[in-house]
Parts: sequence; C-alpha cells; structure tokens
Amino acid sequence: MKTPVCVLRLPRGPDGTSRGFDPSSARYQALCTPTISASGPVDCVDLRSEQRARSFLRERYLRSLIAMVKRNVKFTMYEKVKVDAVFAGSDIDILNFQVEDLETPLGVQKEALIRCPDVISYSFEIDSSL
Amino acid sequence: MNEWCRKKPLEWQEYVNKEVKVNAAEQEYEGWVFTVDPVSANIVLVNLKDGGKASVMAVMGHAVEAVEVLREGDSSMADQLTSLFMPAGAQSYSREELENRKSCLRDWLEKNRIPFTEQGAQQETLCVAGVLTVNPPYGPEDCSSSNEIILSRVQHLIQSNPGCQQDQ
Repeated sequence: MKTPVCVLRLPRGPDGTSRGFDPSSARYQALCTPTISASGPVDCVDLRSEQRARSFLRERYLRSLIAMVKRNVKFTMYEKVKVDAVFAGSDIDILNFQVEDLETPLGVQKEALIRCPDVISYSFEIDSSL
Repeated sequence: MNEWCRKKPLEWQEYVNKEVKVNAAEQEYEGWVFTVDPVSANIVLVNLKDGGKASVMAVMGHAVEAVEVLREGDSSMADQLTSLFMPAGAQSYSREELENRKSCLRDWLEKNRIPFTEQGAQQETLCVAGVLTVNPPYGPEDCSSSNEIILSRVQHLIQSNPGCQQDQ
C-alpha cells in the first residue's frame, strides 16, 4: 500500500486561467474549418457523410475511454518519461487526462492532471468479452 | 499540426479494422485500428492476446509521424474489436421478437394516450409526440430526445410497462 505524497502545486502555465476560445485548438479547427478553408466544394452530401464518419469514430473513442476508467494505464511521454497511473477521466477536447495514484520518481501523487500534448502514447489491458 | 492531424474523418475511417504500423517519436506501434478520435486524431490500436485478454495502445495524434497499413481485417476481426468495448450483455433479437416488442410498446403508448408515429425505412422507429424517438429493441435505453423532461417521463413509462411476453 503506497503512501501518497502531499500535493505539489505547480505554477500555472502560460495559458492563464480562462477556458477561453482558442482558435488554434483542434476542436475549433474541426468545427470551423469547413467554413474557413477553401479545400474544395463543400456540399450537403459530403458534409453529411463526413459528420457520420466523425460521430462513428468519436463514439468508439469515447467507449475506449470509458473502458479505461479505473484501470492501470502506462503513459509514455516525452523526455523518456514513462509513468503508471489509474485513469479517472478526460476532458472533452482530450487535452488533459485526470489520473489517480500517479507513480512518479518523487512518490505517488494521489490525484494528478496529465497534459495530453506531453503524452506520446498510453496503453492498458482489457479482458475481451468473447 | 502534422499531416496525420490534417486528415479528414472519412480518411481516418478508412483505417478502422486494419492492422497498421504507426511511427511516433522514434517508436513503432503495431496493432488493429479500433478507432481514430476525430477531435485529437489519437489512434487506438488493439492487439488480441490468448486467454481472453487484449492490450490496447493509443498513440496521440500530435505525435504520429507515419502510418503504414499492414493488413486488412475481415468481418470477424471487426466484430471482435467492436465487442471489446461495446457494453456487455448486448443481446440480438430476431425479427419476430423485435416486432413483438414494438407492438407491446405501441399498445402501452396507446393505453396511456401518448401520440406516436412509426418512421424509418422498415417502420422500425417510433416517434413519440414528435420529439422523442425509440429505436429497436425498444427498451428505456433506446429512447433519444433533446428534451430531458420528456425523455425521463417516457423512459419511466416504458420501464413501468407490465409487459407482454417479456424475455427478461
């Protein structure tokens, strides 16, 4: 049973406090690109099939996140950092992962937020129901 | 944004159910593509193992350098991938069972004087009061509506159906 270390409060990043409207975020690009870029004629049928593909892919991804909750996940990050943690949740833009019992060289952080731009990949095991 | 992130959802969908090799940050990842998240371009790869386990690896979209398709998956692989994450206990009903369930629900709605219409290519969807739809297999979880109050009322109603030939 690992004893958690006390919470380290790191300084706020350059993003500031506002949740703001970030035109460089992936979400903005995905939602507004069709109206901005001139990447070819955007007709109704194309938009419909693109949206269908988008919701198909997103639903599967959300289900994979649901399957990950409460499991041990290994995160491979930049600067050769590999950490283990228990996955708790993600935000809507997949920019931050909430984790518990994050094992770091400083000790076990009871609760932590991992920034997704710092992550290269993550992995976990699952039982197949078949 | 790298080239992978600039792809469109239809292009990403092409990779689903294929075995691929992903190069990211000087590492290689291989596996069957379960999905590519359209918001972050993360690729979710699955490797099925013996003993009923599977290892899932996701590569973040911003880290992807190259994706190479190794193999196409067949329909049994597609089913295995889908069943890994979809809710357990998902039953499949036969046509008659679905028809019975639909009539059962229809009678219950009529009894409770709730207006509804049947819609869809095979009249399989019930549209209740013009704001809520019920899809097969017509359980409380199969209702969808943008109005929370109506959704909750109809769900309770369906749940309180004394039932026909229920296959509990």
